[in-house]
Amino acid sequence: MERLHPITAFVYFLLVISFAITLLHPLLLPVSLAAAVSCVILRRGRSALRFLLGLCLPMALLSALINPLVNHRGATILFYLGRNAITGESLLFGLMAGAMLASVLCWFDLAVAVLDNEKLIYLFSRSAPALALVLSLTLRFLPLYRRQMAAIREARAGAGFGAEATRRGRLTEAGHIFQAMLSWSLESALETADSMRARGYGSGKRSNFHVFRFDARDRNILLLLILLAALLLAGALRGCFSYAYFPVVSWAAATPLFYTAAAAYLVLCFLPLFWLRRNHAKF
Amino acid sequence: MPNSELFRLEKFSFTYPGASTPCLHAIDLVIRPGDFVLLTGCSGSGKTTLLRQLKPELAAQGQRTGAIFYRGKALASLTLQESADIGFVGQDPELQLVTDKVWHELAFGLENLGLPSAEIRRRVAEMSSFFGIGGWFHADTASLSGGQKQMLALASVVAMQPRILLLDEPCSQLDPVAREDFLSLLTKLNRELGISVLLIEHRPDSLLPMADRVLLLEQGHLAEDAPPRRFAAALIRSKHSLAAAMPAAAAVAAAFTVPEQDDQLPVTVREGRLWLAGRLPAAECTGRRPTPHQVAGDRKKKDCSPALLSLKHIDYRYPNAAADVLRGLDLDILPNDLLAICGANGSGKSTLLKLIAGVRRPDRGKRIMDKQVKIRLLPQHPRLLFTTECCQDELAEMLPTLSPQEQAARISAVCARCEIPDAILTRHPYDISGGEQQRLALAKLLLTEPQLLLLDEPTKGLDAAYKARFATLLADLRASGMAIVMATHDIEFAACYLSRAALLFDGTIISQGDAGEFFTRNSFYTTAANRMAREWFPAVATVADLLAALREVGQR
Repeated sequence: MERLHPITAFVYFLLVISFAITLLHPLLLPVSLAAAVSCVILRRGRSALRFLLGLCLPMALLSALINPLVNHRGATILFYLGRNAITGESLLFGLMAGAMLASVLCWFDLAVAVLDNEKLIYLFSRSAPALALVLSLTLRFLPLYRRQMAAIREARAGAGFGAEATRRGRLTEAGHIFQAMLSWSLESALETADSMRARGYGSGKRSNFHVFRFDARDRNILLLLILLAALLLAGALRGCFSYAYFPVVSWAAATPLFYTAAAAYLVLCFLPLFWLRRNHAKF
Repeated sequence: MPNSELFRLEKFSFTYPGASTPCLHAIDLVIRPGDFVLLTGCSGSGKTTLLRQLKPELAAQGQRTGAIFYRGKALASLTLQESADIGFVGQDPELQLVTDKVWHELAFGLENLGLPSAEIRRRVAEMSSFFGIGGWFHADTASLSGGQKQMLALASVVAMQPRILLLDEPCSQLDPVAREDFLSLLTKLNRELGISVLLIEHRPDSLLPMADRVLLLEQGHLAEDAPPRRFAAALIRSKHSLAAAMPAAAAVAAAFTVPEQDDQLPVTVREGRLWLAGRLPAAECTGRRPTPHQVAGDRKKKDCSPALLSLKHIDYRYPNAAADVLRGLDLDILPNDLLAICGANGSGKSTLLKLIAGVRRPDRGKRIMDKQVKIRLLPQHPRLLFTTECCQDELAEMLPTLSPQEQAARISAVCARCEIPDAILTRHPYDISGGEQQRLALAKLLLTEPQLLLLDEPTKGLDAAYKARFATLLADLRASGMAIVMATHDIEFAACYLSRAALLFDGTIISQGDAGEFFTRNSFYTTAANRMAREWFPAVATVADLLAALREVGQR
């Protein structure tokens, strides 16, 4: 999936995340959730458990718990809590909202992994080239600053500083390190600016180079995505995806268009599974 | 004319704003296409100023007289495209790089020229094959080694297809292996692509064979402009303070030849050997090798006095690293020691100093001191120690409990000792020269009166003239009872001025001994004078030794 062109990948995530947020249909939501969870497992391997059980599950459960407490609509009354009815519909709706949140979290986890800094900068550079360059400079300076800070701290320890046990002593020492960082960063910014000017920066119109190639595969995938999105939109506009949780859970009767659109959603959601398996044979 | 000359300087002078005397004085200089020119001079002689005046975007503001022509045109009138002809690489590899990805760095200059993507792609591909960058083309620039960073900085300048490269001490921050790699690439660019090179270098010895001409700047005057062999001979014969930076072979041969033979002066170890072979009678060629009894020698010496500090069976591994840096290391530091820790790049010399200083703690093993020893460590980059706005405050910071009068007295004493002129005390520590920064950092540490002083690569980036004075300072400190340990790549310095040497390899000290004996026992990791003369005089370590030995032979 990392092999996709940034634009293809970006369009994919744009589609799948927007549909995941808008399609709260009781039959379609589980499709998105199942696909997102399997992608996360496939990509992360063992560490997926921590992400899913530690973050996604609590979020979903919290939503499922809170909704029935504040929302008392629905026909199926399970029990009364004080004077308020706890209904099955509102429990289900909370669960569904939680599932939606969890699936969006999973999709974002995947998107962040696929669209790394380099690809984001590329996407930026199309609309805001200056911003993209600043981003690249910043990403270069962050590790540099971190390393310099550690080096200064160590150098000062070697010169006999930083052993103070008092809070005041530690604070003064932190001030010294900050001052040293300030001098250093101003000076190094000057030298880096020299290196930029020596290579002609700021003297004319820049072009934007990138290493990504938009090939036939990307074109085909993009066409497929457009087709799937069109089917889904058609389904949504024709009301195939209308549903209600209150007063009772119900949805529009299944028509051929519903089946087609649902199939399109199935394909859309499970596409990454196919890419991930091809690229990550190690799992 | 434009095609036979790249740069022509005519009576060029330059004065910084507010300065009373010119920094560069009536310089006449011609650089032709394909030239490989070295620019030398003591620090503060105006080398960097001159180099930057040749690159319009970097030229300092100030008063200029005379003229600089680039290919027959006044330098100031160059267009952006023409100025891209002049490539510039600075000193600090860390700060040459601008972007976060290697490929983006290579393309950066080309983007600035506004080239189309397809053209950039082709040039970037060419550069990464020429420089062997393919393997780390997609890497983060932050993850590269110093040598790789400097190589990338060079590659991204060469991608702009310059006619001439201006380089300001590009190797001063690199270790010897990375330095050789960088210089051989530079030679390749000059030989195979015909790119001219003007290079400031504080250790010109290994570069002399490649250079077409060598320039010497002295207080802003162009004092010498000669082919390398003549240049070396002139410096050595006039006992110039930079003569020590000339190759050992030249230093020895110049003492025995007349100026008419200077065109044949040997400048490499190979030439030096041939020269020696031609002079010395064949009978001297006994092919003697160091005998094994010398190897046992250092054990006896080790036991003669109790150590100031001992490391026993030290293991150390950096957090998150895959392998140990130090493994089972034992080292004794004697009272009044003057010890050089030598070793290849990445062998753990700096780490060892940090462990001795107690800045880092070993994973296993003991650090034993009989009594509490005050230890101070001078880092490789003295700037790391500067936290204030002026040099005076830097020194005063070390004496927080003293009254102003006592402070002033101590500071003026330490300044006299470290040769820090009063004039710089009011300046910002970043505005003084590299050598002065190092002395200031050293003065800071000396104010705390350490008993054991640790120095990490103290001779890196120092010119030959200052190195000799630095050695005197070390001897002076030692005479006052201080023990000194330095980590160094500088074999020649260690052999000339230090009393003991130890070799760090594979995480442990594999051999140690008296400096002279230590180096003459090695056959590769040794001084140029020894490599040249070992067949005839196996005990010779320094140029002075070799000269003495040759004179002795001459008298017999």
